[in-house]
Formats: sequence, structure tokens, C-alpha cells
Amino acid sequence: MESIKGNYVIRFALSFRFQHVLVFTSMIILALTGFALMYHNTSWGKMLIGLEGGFVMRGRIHRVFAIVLIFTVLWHFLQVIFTEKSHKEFLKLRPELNDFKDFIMTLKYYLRISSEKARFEKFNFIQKFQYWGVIAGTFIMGVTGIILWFKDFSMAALPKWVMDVTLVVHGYEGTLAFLVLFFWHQYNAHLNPDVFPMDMTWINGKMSLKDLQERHPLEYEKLMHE
Amino acid sequence: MEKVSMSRKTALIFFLVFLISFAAFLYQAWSQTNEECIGCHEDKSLAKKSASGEEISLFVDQKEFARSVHKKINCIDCHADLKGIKEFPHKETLMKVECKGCHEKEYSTYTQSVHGKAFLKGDKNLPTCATCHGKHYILCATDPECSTSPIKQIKVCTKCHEDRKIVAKYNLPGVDFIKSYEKSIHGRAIAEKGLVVSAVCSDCHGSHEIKPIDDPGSLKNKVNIPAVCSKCHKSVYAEYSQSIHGQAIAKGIMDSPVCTDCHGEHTIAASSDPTSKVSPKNIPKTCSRCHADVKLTEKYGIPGARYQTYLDSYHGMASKFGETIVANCASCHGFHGILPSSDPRSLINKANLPETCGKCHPGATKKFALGKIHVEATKESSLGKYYVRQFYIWFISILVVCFVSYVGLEMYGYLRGRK
Repeated sequence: MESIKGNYVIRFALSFRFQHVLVFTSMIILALTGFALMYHNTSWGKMLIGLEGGFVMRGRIHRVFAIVLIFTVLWHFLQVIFTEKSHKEFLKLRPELNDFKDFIMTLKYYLRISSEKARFEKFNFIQKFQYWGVIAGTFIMGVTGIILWFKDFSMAALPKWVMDVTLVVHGYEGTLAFLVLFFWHQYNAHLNPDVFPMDMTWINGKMSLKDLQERHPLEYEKLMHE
Repeated sequence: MEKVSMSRKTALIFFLVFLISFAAFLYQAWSQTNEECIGCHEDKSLAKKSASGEEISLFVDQKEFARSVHKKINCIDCHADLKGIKEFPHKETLMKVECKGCHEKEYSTYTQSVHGKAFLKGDKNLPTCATCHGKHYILCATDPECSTSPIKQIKVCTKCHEDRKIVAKYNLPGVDFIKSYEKSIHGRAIAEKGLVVSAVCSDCHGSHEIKPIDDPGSLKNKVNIPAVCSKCHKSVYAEYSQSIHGQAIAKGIMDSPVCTDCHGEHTIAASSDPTSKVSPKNIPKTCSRCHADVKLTEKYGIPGARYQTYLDSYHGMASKFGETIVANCASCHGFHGILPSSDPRSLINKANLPETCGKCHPGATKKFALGKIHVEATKESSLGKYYVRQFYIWFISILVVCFVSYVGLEMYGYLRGRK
């Protein structure tokens, strides 16, 4: 829950900022070690495998950071389920019909069909989409990854074609996550004219009241009302 | 009277017997014994001049001769044109020694060989008996000192076959190719370990009967190779003859591999040697020379693209990066006894797959083995893989288009002053 401190609000609690760092570091390393294997036939794939200490070490690094990511996500879930303050935050991320309406309204606004701008709460539809995207992606990557990791158990339980499909899913879901995070999220966090060159919130957790009023007016009004 | 004539007759007989014995003694005494030849030829300085003016030693070392297999043979048995001569010193130019008088079988084999044929056509540079066996001091082949003993014969053959001038003149296989034998498991076994049962030149190429490779009688001709190797590798041969490759060769399908197609010839190395054609890392390449060959796979209706699908698998990737504890072709298909999956004895028969996979993955079940192993992401090969891939390709493409459009739209909005 935000609290006004001078001319800014704390929007991103320290534990979440810490989780964010763990998630993106592990994801970058997972992407580097994962794509190295997926594109092992290319020169850059070979170079990456070399840089990662060879074929076996690449796998070890990949699995170590998979554990880091999985535990970060588990920690996050325990926190948002069991701590009251975080649980209230989490509920604000619930997808609602309003998000779709906001999306349409934003399209209309940019297309100059309407002059009315969507008014967002604490999390707008883009942020919710990203959050649930990361959750779904991590879930799929985690499950498929564990199936492939513990291959001897999987081979006892699953037919081979399921494992073939699992491998394809793991590779393409990883590609999808990479594209979303690397391009879409980088755009929103860095290149978007509102925040360029970088939205500092991920480091200090702060957002100025002015920005809040502009970008999350409903949240701003709620805070002022309180 | 009668008595007298009887005793005369007896005396006559005795006299004749004596005369014959004496003649024999005389013959013995006057014919040329080896000792007689030695009388001159033990002189180390004894020599003659060849037509080109070179000095040729005529010295025969008696100690060495006494060790030879021919120690009981008389000089004149070989130098037959000296039989019965009485004047010494005898003429300088003697007839060539003919070994065929005693070694008839070897001679007739030699005349059919690549060496013999060319020699008889008149090229006197080609090897004859003495080139390989030597002259006066020929030892028993089991004697390690013998020029054709396993260790020594390599030197005898390479004297010409590693001589670049000779190799160029007669268009022989390259010197480096011949030399590569030294590094092979056979060459090293003999040179480093003294293992005389290891294969040397004559074991694979034959000796008197060496023929050009395209001659069906040549030991190196593809049809004969399995039998040649089986002289030592008996159990392997038995297994190979049962295999699909061995059966095909027996049927005359010459595209099927024999020993050397997978193992190499002069370069043959143990599978533990990383340079070996059958080392875990190199096996996929060795097999795919045929099994990824479009022409061959189509000709015989065998599944193609085996190499690519293997490389795409985790096994293939790991193998490519030098991991050796990972399945290669032979791990699943076997090697000498390879059989098609339709054969119930085949390691890759559906019924046997759980056991075959289970060698490394103890959990593998019958259910696991239901799927195809070499899968391509095509409709025909794997529906699951194909559709999942198609789904992701479309999903990702559409998502990217949406993102880009949204960003474009937002930029458009900004430019029009809509913040």
C-alpha cells in the first residue's frame, strides 16, 4: 500500500524490488544459457556455450538459475497470499473487464477517435498483462523444464512424444518470454517517452505525485481522499 | 671247375661293387661341395664389377648362411648353371637363381600377382623373390629376424611403398596413406607392444598373391574384406554376417558397408581413440555418410535425415560438443550386429526399446518407447511437435505484430500531442 512521503509515493515495496532483481537476473542468464543450446548450430550459439564454460557447465548454470527463479516466484506467492499488505497489492493485479475497456479507450484516444483518456488505477492493463505473462510463462517454463531435467522419471511416466512436445514448448515459450520481456518490457520501462531513459521505480520504488496523478489518476485520487 | 667259376663270378660282383663305390667316392670327391665354393667366397674382398661399374660383393657369410633355412642346400642347387664345371674361377655372370624349382606353388601365385605380372611383362624393377626374402640368408618366417617376419616385413614393403619416387612412377597409393598405418591400432600394437599377432601388410594384402583392388581375387576387394578381417576377428565376423549389412553384402549389394567402411583401413584405431572413425564422437558422421545420403536412402528405401534429427536431439547436441557419455548411433542400434527394427532381435525393435533406452535411462517404459525416436517437426513425423510449433510460431508472430502496432500507435499519439 502506498504511503505519501513528501512529494512522492512508495509504489514498489523493497521485497518486490528485490524479487524483481532476482527474476530479471535469473531470466537473463536462463535466456543466455537456454538460447545457447537452442541455437547451438549457429556461431553465436557456439560462442555462448564456450563462454558459459562448455556444454556441461552451461546446463548446470541453467539449472541453478532455474532454481533461483522458481524459488523467487514461490517466495512471491507465499508473500502475496499470506501477508496482508502484499495480498491487497496482489488483488489490485486481478484482471478485470475494465482493463479491456481501458485498452479500447486507449486505442481510440491514440487514434484520435475519442478525446477521452483512460484513467488507470494502481496497475494499468499493460502492467497487469506483463505481470500475468511472467507468472504464466514461469509456470510453463518451470513445469516443462522440470520434466526435461528429471528425464529418467519423465521417461518412466510419459511417452516419448510428450517429451518431444515438452522440449518444443520449453524452447518456444522461452522465445516468447524473451521477446515480451526484452522488447515490450524494455520499451515500457526505458524507451517510452513518459519514462525515458529509465523508470527509476524499480530501484527506489518511488513515483512522484505529479507522475502518479498523470499516469494513475484513480490511485492518486484514492490516496488524496484518504 | 664249377666251384672256381662260381668264385670268379663272386669276385667279379665284388669288383663291380667296389668299382661303383669308388666311382661314387670319386664323384663325391670331385663334385663341387659347398666347402669348395666357400674356399673362394669366404673372402670378404671378393667382388666383381657390374656393367655400370659398381662393385658387387661376392662374399657369402658362412655363419649367416648356416642359420638360414637353406643351410642344407648346395650352392649349385640354386646356382644351377655352375653344376659340373671344373674350371675356376668360374664365369662372372651367372643365371638368375630360379626359386620356382622348389617353390613352385609360390611361383605360380606370384605370376598372377600385381608384382609378378608386371615383372614378367619385362619391368625388372618390380620385386621378385629376393626383393622381399633376401638371398643367401633367408630365415624361417617365424624367426623375428626374418625379413618377412611381422616386424621386419613392414620395412620390406615400405622400402618401395614409402619411396616417393617409386610411388609417383607407378601411381601407387600415397605415402602418407601408407604411413598412417604406423599410428593405427595394428601398427602400434606391433611397434609399441611387440604384439606379433597384430595385422601387418601381408595379413590384409596377402603376400605372393597381392592383386589390384578391383580384381575380385584381391583380398582388398570389398567382397573379400569381411573374410580377411575375420582371420583374427572371428566373433565379430559371426555377428556381422548376421547383421543387415553383412546379409546385404552376402546378397551382392555392394553399397552396404564392410569392416573398412566404418573402421577405416590404414588409419584403423580403437573406438576409445578420439581420432577413430568409430569413436563415440565420430560415429554419427561415419554412419551418416550413407544414412544421410539422399541417393542411398532413396535407393534402398531406408529412412533418411538420420544425422540431422540426431543432431537436433539432446543426444546429438551433447555429442557434438564432445560429450562422450551420451547416446550415439551405436548405443541404440548396436554396431556389428545391426538389424532393422522389424527384426525381433533388433535392439530398436519396439519390444526391445525399453531395455535399450533403459541402459542409460533405467526408468524407460514400454509406453515411453511408443513415440518415434528420430523426429522431425513435420506433420508426417510428429503431429504433436508440428502443431505445437505451428501454434507458437503464429502466437509469437501475432503478439509481435500487436506490440509493434501498439508502440506505433502510441508514438503516433505522442506526435499528435496526445500524452
